[in-house]
Amino acid sequence: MKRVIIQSCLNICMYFLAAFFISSIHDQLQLFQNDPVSGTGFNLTLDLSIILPILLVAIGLSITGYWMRTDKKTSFSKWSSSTTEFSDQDEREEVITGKATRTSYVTFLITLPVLMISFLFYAPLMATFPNFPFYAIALVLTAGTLSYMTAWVYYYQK
Amino acid sequence: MKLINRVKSLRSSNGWTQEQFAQMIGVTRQTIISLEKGSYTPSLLLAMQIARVFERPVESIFYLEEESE
Repeated sequence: MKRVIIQSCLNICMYFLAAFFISSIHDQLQLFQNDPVSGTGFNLTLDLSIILPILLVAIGLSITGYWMRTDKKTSFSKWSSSTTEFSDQDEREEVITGKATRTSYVTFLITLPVLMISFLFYAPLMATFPNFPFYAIALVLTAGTLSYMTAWVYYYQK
Repeated sequence: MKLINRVKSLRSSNGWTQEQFAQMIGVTRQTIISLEKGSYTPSLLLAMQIARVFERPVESIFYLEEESE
């Protein structure tokens, strides 16, 4: 249970850090598109305060994932091609993962149309919050991951 | 119909802890807890492994109980 909670929380952190990172690139690209000739040409600055947390969370995800792997004989290369959330220890956990995945799927079925509806207000939203699409996608992914984690914990303790 | 099991009483009579029994049949302790509570229905494979550990036929450990209306 602990591995699912930790992995899910780290995944959620990654979604928002990635949204933040892509937003910062988007801001600079927009500047460039608005005024392509007045500056020194294409210039993209990567801020360490943005990249560093992403790197740290990515390293954290890798370490916890590898450390919490169920089959300790699994090599790093074999382990890295799968996800920790799905490394079930017995048949009951496989059943729980199946139920949690179904809950997550239903969450996506609900949240994605809601996201589509929010794009109706694309123009005013983009005017006030230019990076809205990146954070909206991060929110939808978070909803899916949170529902997966909640369902997993619920069925595990049942 | 509900599947009833005698895992808890048989395990206790053998003097095994949940952890020991879980190791014997290759599952987690949490699965044994759920099994004993009756909230988890094991697969046929796991039921037969349990029967082999207890050296009893499956039907003497797991049986169906008719639910009264």
